[in-house]
Order: sequence, then structure tokens, then C-alpha cells
Amino acid sequence: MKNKVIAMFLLVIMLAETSCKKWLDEKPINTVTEDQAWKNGTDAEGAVAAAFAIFRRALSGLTKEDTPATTRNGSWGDYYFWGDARSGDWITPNNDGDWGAGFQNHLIQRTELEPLTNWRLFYRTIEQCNLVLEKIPAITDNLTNERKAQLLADARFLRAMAHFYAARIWGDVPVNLKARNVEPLGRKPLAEVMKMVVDEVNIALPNLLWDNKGTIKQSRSRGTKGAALALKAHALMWLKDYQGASDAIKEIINSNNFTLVPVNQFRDLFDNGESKEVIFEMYYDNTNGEYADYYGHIMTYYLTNPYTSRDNLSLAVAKSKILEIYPDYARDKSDKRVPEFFQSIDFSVSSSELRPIFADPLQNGERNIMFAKFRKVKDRSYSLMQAPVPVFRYADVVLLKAEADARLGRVPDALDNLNKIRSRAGIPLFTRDDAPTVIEAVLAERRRELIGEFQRSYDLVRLGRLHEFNSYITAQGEKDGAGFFPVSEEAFTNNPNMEQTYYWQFNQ
Amino acid sequence: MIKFIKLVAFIGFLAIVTAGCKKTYFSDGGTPVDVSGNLGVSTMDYLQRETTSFDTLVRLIKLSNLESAVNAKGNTFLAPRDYSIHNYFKLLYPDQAKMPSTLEALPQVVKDDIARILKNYIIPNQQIVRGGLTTAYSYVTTYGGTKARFNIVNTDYLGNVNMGAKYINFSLNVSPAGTTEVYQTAQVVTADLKSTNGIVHVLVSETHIFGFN
Repeated sequence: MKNKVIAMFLLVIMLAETSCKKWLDEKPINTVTEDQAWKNGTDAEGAVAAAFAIFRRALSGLTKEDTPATTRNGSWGDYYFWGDARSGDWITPNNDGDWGAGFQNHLIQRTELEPLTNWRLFYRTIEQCNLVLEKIPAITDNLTNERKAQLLADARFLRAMAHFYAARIWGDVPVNLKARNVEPLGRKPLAEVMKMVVDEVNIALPNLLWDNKGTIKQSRSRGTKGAALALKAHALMWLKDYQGASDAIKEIINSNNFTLVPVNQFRDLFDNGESKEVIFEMYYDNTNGEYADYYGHIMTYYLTNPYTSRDNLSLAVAKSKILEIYPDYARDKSDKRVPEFFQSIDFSVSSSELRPIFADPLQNGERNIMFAKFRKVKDRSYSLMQAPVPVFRYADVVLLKAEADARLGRVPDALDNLNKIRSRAGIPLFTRDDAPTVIEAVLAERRRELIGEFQRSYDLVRLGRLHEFNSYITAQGEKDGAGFFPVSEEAFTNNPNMEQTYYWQFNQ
Repeated sequence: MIKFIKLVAFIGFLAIVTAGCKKTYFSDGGTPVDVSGNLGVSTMDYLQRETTSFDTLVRLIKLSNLESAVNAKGNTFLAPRDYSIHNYFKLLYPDQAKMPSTLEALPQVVKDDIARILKNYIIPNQQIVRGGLTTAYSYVTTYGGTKARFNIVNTDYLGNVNMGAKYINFSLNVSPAGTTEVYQTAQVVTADLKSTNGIVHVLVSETHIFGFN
């Protein structure tokens, strides 16, 4: 017995000794240092993919790792919804105070919203692109010159895209085109940023493809010629260079690479992102670990059972507003987009069952109609981000061209494009031909077509008309910058060149 | 000896079990179950007491001369809160400046409409309580003569079946008479308040708008 115990003891000691012996000599395989990171083609591919991943995270909102401990968990998708929140079209049926504060432009006083004003992840995206643009040119191993040029163009496109998106959110933003920058950067005027975006797109364009490898969803969630041209057109609209914008979109149209799909194919477009109408979308792939730990995808705020396990509605459009936005539907139910974008569900059924969907999309009355443009299937859990989020699509640029043409006095061209969208929706063609009326009609059509696609607020901010639709913002306030996010406190740390937006110096 | 100890232990155990069962159980706040939810006043008096939730409702009931219907013996009243009524007027008068400054100054058509709507929140001669309802629909006719229905739903955060909170849904047929019935639902947030004349259920105010708009 004693011998057995001793033998056992020795055995344990022996095992312990041997198992400890070697590991310190191993090279750590999961720590990548700068000199190892940029060696071959695989590294280059990974680095560009990583930049896109950071950008997806930036747009979906900050996660716990990105925010101070005082903030709540998870990602909200707020940067997306910022493009709609203040348009005056939305309500929060469950009276969510944070969304309410967003609608009313109270952004600083709510400490939970303050971190949202942080542009850190946008500049992390930009920094990753800067590194790519600096390092990839030297890589030759397992990387053809052609692919190298594509990757560089892709990174250049994304860098421009991140600056563009940040400029729409914050107005004047720093421009960072240098890797490992340690200089305290000040904010550049919005027009200068947009001009830089256009210049960068022009450099990237020749080396971008019309379609990358893979499915539409994979291909068009990266830089393509179409995405770059759409970005350029949008930036030029901010610069009021309507001719340039119109020309850029003409190239997209002439490529014949995109189509306006019929309304009955909207599910492919909005649920799956597999549609010829997509130009650029953010595609969150749960199999790659892109999920939110608690708060979920922006779209889960729109949806409830039967699409997600959310019990109530957090973001919605009121019935009276729907009837106001879609007058043709109010008149004779002709606008085919309404049943595609809105649904009423039977709330008298328990949320542990699949709730039936009513035939009449507006049956649930003023405050309980679900915004169902994007639908997930039930087996997708509440928090998993697995749906494409559109950034640019064909209908968007067609209408943008209509606006540009109308402003250039080319009314027939404008009407032609406007009516493409109207006839697809099944509403009467627009026939009045004085330019100001057509411009108004195009803006109203963009509101109808792109509702919930994070365009409306930016359209209004671009035109200085946010105050007309949002009673919490005054005309003078908008001139002073109320249409933009305030700059986060963090951006002021060790940066004497940083300045707060004028409006936000006086308004909390 | 061991037998004796066993016997004593058994008797002690029995004593504990029976004693443990004897006492009245208490719900929140220490009020015994059968007393909880007893308002001790009539439905109207209760609504009048809760001015922060129901003062506009009370004024509408008085405006429509429906106090006696609300206070009728053995009925059920579904109480919409002031926020629901606020949203009703917001829909009626999108331009708030055009709204009459007092309720009395409302046009007669609006007053008639309010009376018609109010009658649909009263279920005469029936005391509907949660315990008497199931997940299947039970149909009733309101004081206004409209068809309505109640059902129970069980909802828990994760969507588990038959788990979690149990609440009442009140649905009203909102389609015109003679056409296919279309029900719109309002959740009951506070159920089974017993007034001296009947039962009061308070409706959700965030999504429900007075008159099922």
C-alpha cells in the first residue's frame, strides 16, 4: 500500500516536471509583431479585411470593450440610426429614453449617450487603412501586382468612406492620411474633407473591380467601382458639385451592373443582401464572430416577434406619419412599398409563440406598427448580427441623380429617373416640370424609398433643412451645427487643436 | 430507545410541516392575497383618487355623463391612462394650437365620439378577472355594443412556453359592423383591482391610444 502511494507520488512529480519543461522555448503564435505582420499576400488580405471589420464595428456602435465602464454593454447600431433618428419620422413605442434623447438632440446630458459621440473606431479604421497603404507596396511574397493594386485601392476607398461617414456625423472632422500619426490633429472643414474623399476615390477607381469574388453580399461589402462612384457622388452632392455627382452616377447606370429589382424581390434585397440593386452594404457574418453581446443589431430594435424574440417595439414610425409620407397609400393603398416596409402583428398572442401577421399592414394603429423593411427569421437570436445593412443602393443613386439633374435644370432627365422609382412602387408618374417642385418631389421620394436606410437625416442636414422636420432643432441652431454630433471629451485629451462644434459649446 | 427517538423525530417533523402550512401567505407589501387589490372605494372614486394617472379620464367620463355606467354594480372597467388620451388628442389636433382650450369647448361631434369610445371600455354585468381567463379568447360585448375579447398570454424574456409573467390582453373589434372582425389589442398592465362595485384593469399607455386608433 505504502509503495503504491510513493509510486503514485513519484509519477505525479515526474509528469509535472516534464510537462513544464518545454513551453517557455516556444515562440508565441498568437502575438503578431509589426515585423511579422506584413510578410506575404495572406497578411495583406487579412489586413484589408480587418480594416473593413473595424469599420463595421464602428458603425454598429461601440461595444463594451470600446467604452468606459460607466456605459452600458453592447452595441446599439446607433451610428446607423443617427441617419434617421432626428428626421422627425420616428417614435419609440416603448418610450426608450435613449432613443428619445436622440430624436430630440439631447446628446450630452445623458451620460450613456456621451460615449457615442466618440469617433475612435472611425479613426481606428482609418489608421488600419493608413498602415495597409504604407506596408503592402513592399510585399511581394505570394501577392501579384494586380491583386496588390486592388487591395491598395480597396483600402483607399475605405479610408475615404470612413472619413465621409464621420463627416456626415460630426461635420468638420480631422483628416488623417499618415500611418502612426502622433501629431494632434485639428478638425478640417467639412467641404475640405469631402474634397479629399473625392480625390481619394479618383485615385482608387482605376484599380477597383465592378465585382469582387464571391456572392453579391461578399462582393459588395468591399470596395468596388460602383461603391466608390456612389461615394464620390454623395460627397459631391455635399460640395454642391451637381454636375460631378450626376456624371459619377451616370457611370454607375451605364455599367449595367445594377438594376431596380421588382418589389416582389425586396426580400432578397433587404433580408439577404443578395440583389442586383445593392451597391455597397455592411454584411455582418455571425460565423466570423460578428455579433453583439447584448443589445443587438440595429434591426432588432425595429422588429419584434415573429422575427426576433423582442417582445415590444423600440423604434417605429407612427401610423399618422406613414400616411403623411405615403399619400398615395393613404388615398388608395396603391404604394406597394408600404406593405413591404410595414407590418402589423397580432399582439394578443403570447411572445413565446409565433405571432401572426395581419393582412392590413397598418392595422395596429398609431403606435404599434412594426417597421419591417428588414426581416430576420425567428431562429436568429435577439443579439446576433446577421443581416446586411445597406449603405448605398441603386434606387438611392438614381434618386440622387434626379436631384442633381433637377438642380442643374435638366428636368426631363430628373423626371425620368424619379419616375423609374415611382412606377416600380406602383404610384402615378410625376408630371409637373418646374425645377423647384421636382426637387421637392425627389426629396419626398427619397424619404419614401429610403426610409430606415439611414439617409433621411443626412439629406436634410446636407440641405440645412433638418429644422423644418425636427421641432427640437431651430434654424439658427442648425446653422451653428446642431445637425451634427458633438465631439467627445476624449478627443480633447492632449490635443490643443481640437475644437467643439459651436452649437454644442452652448447646448447640452 | 432508537424507536422512541424515531417517533419523536417523526412527530417533530409533522409538527414543523403542519405549522409551516398554517400561516397565511403574503404577497408584496405584506398584504394577504385575498385582501390585495381591494380598493375599498367605487371605480369612479378610485379613478378620482389616482389623479396622476386618470384625471383627464375622469373629466371625460363626467363630460359624457357615464359615471353611473362606470360605477354600475358587477361590471368591469378597462381604464386607459391619461397618456393614451393625450395621444388621442394629439392625433385629433396635430396642430395643438387649434385645440379648444377646455374639454367643454370641444365640438359636439368630438364629444359624441368620446362618449362612444368610453362605452367600449365598460363591460357591463360581468366581472372579468385574470383567474377566470385562459389563453383562448373569451368574447364579450361592451356597454357600447361592440364585440371585444380577452385572453391571457404568458410571456417570459426568453420566449419559453408557459413561463414568465401572465397578463391579460383586451382586444376590441375595430372593423365596422357587418365586415370581417378585426381586433386591436391593448395589454393590461395592472389587473384585478377590486372596487366596491366591480373590477378595474389598467391599460398600457405607451402603445395604446384612447379609442384604439
